[in-house]
Formats: sequence, structure tokens, C-alpha cells
Amino acid sequence: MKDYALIEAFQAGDEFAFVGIYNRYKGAVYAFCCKMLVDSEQAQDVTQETFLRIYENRDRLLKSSSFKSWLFTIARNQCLNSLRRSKRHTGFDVNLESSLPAMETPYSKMEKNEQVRFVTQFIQSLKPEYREVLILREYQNLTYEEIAAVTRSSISAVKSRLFKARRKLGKVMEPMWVLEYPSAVEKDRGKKVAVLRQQN
Amino acid sequence: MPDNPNTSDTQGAACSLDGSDVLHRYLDGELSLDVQPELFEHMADCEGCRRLMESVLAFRRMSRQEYLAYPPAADDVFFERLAQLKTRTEQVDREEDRKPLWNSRRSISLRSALALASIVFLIGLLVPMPARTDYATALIQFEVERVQFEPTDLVVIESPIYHWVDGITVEATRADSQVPRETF
Ligand SMILES: [Zn+2]
Repeated sequence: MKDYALIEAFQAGDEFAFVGIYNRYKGAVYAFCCKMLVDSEQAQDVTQETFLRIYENRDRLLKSSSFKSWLFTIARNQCLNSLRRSKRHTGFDVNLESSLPAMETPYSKMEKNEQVRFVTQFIQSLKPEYREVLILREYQNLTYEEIAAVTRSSISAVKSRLFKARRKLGKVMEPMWVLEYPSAVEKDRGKKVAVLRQQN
Repeated sequence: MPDNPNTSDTQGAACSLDGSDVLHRYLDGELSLDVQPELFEHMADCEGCRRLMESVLAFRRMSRQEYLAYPPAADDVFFERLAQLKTRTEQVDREEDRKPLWNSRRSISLRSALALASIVFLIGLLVPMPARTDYATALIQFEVERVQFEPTDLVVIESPIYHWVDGITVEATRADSQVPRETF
């Protein structure tokens, strides 16, 4: 069954269609919440809350053009509420690097769990307004326009936040690349690799 | 990390794309094909941009290493919560059933109400056919805009009276007259 048929049936009061929508989207919503909240238990609760709201507010969907945008708008607001409630607003400034551990392993040598940990720590180091944009783009594959709709901001604001988050990522990962391609590193970069190697 | 090499600091001056979003748009599949060769040409000479792109692509690969499966136990909790929500909704509906028809906010009741209205028209009134159809359509549109399904907040209060059209007067709850609340 196609998405729109499922959604139409759901709005017409078909309970099975709602279960279908839930099963189809719960994974994406859960992944989004996990990354936003960095807490799987809270993410489960917020995922459930999101779908309960979808169920309750199905009549409002008529006005919304994209179900996915609507879904993530609700999920996003629930996440922000949850962060506010638990006062875990602890994202650091986008320019701050102290929250991340020094990268001493070249990317290609990182174990799977190290990679997961790095990603989690990086996301956690972002303030919610940067975090949500990066997650919606890199995990949920939403367009700039969809992200703007979900986060109630302009496309240019979305781009500015997304690119800033990525530039921070580039900075944080730079040492990894230096270790990754030591032969390609020229001049003063060579010294930095040497320093990092000594530290190891 | 005082020794952290810094791409934008060391390369910033040399990079002609500094401050441009071309690279990001390429990464997001939003850069048109005819501009792409220019970008690649630039990247051949600009280590900073190459690294930034590599970083984003590596981040993408790394972020796919983690499979976040929604636990089956959480499904059980969800359907439990959904059942509770429905029970609450049904209770409200049953109360509403004892009240005049228009108190109900379910689309099914709207249909019955419209049917009733049509019957009244057919029997008693000499309204021309097209006018009646338009009116029904308008009613549906109005209802679509107005309905907000929030049973937890719903309190049935002493109702104001809506005068719809000659011969039909209906009651509405106070909640009906409110503009849908922005809940998030
Ligand atoms: Zn460049």
C-alpha cells in the first residue's frame, strides 16, 4: 500500500491504516528521537507520544501537504519539550571543541563501536538547533525545504545551521585525516602528525 | 586539543569557496550538474574542501553503523497507551451522544447531522436544489477547518447556541468556539 493511500485511509477512520503508518514510520521517528535525546528510553516514550498525537490530530493533517514533515514536526516538538523538561539542554556551542575527545585513531582503523561512539558524541556536542538540522538531513534525508517546515525556520537559516555543524565536524575530524594520510601531509602538517604520533 | 590542525584557519585564505554553499549543496544532491565540474576542479587544488567533504561522507558512513531498532516491548507499551486513549475518547463520545447531535465532533456524526439537515430540507422547505448543495459543501469545509481532536482536554460545558439556518438550531460546546490551540 502506498503512503498516501495509507494516510487517506487513516484519515477516513481506518484503524488498520493507522497501525500500518505506525509500523512504517516508527523506526524513523525512533531513530530521530534517539539522536535528539541521546537516551533510548526517553526516545521510546517520545516516539509513542508522537504517534498518539498523530492519532489524535489526524483531522489537522488535511492542511498539511507532507505527512513526513508533519510527523517530524510533532516528533521534533516532543523532543524539544522532553529536553526542556529534563533540562538536558546541554548541547555545547557549535564552536566549542573541548566536549569531544581527541581523535587519535585514523578513520579507517576505527572499530564499529568507536565509530558509533564518535557520531553520538559529536551529535551530543551540538546545541539542539544544530543537532536537529543535522539529524534531519543526514539520518532522515529530508530536503532543506522539509527541514525548514519541520523546524519552523527559513531555508537560509536551515542551510546556515547545517553548514556550520558540518564545518565543526570537519574541524573535529581533521586530526583523523592527518593520521589517515600521513604521506600526503606536507610541511607543517608533518610536524602535527609527529606530535600526535608521539602522544600515542 | 591545542595541536588540533584547523582546516578553515589554515586553508581559509586560499579557498575561493570559503563562505560558499556549493560543496554542501553537492553533498545534499542539490547542486546542478553544470556547476559540478567547477567544484571538482576546485577540490583538486583545495585540501580544505576535500577534507570537509571526506568528513561529511565519513560521518554518513559512520552514522549508518548503528542500527536503532525500536524494541518490540515498546510496541506493546504503545498499543496499551493507544487503547487507553481510545477508551478516554469513547467515554467522551458516549457523554456526547446524550447531548444534541451537534455536540459530537466525530465526522460520522457530522454526516448523520448533514443527512438529518437534508431530510428536514427535503420535507419542509422549498429551497432550490443548487443552493442546498452549496450550503452542504460549505458546512463540510467549515467542519474540516474547525475540528480538533483532543479528547483529553475536552470538557463539555454549558453550551452556546448556534443558529445555522432557518428551522435548524444546534448547540455547540464551548470548546467548539475556540480557535484550535497550537499544541506545539
Ligand atoms: Zn576550498
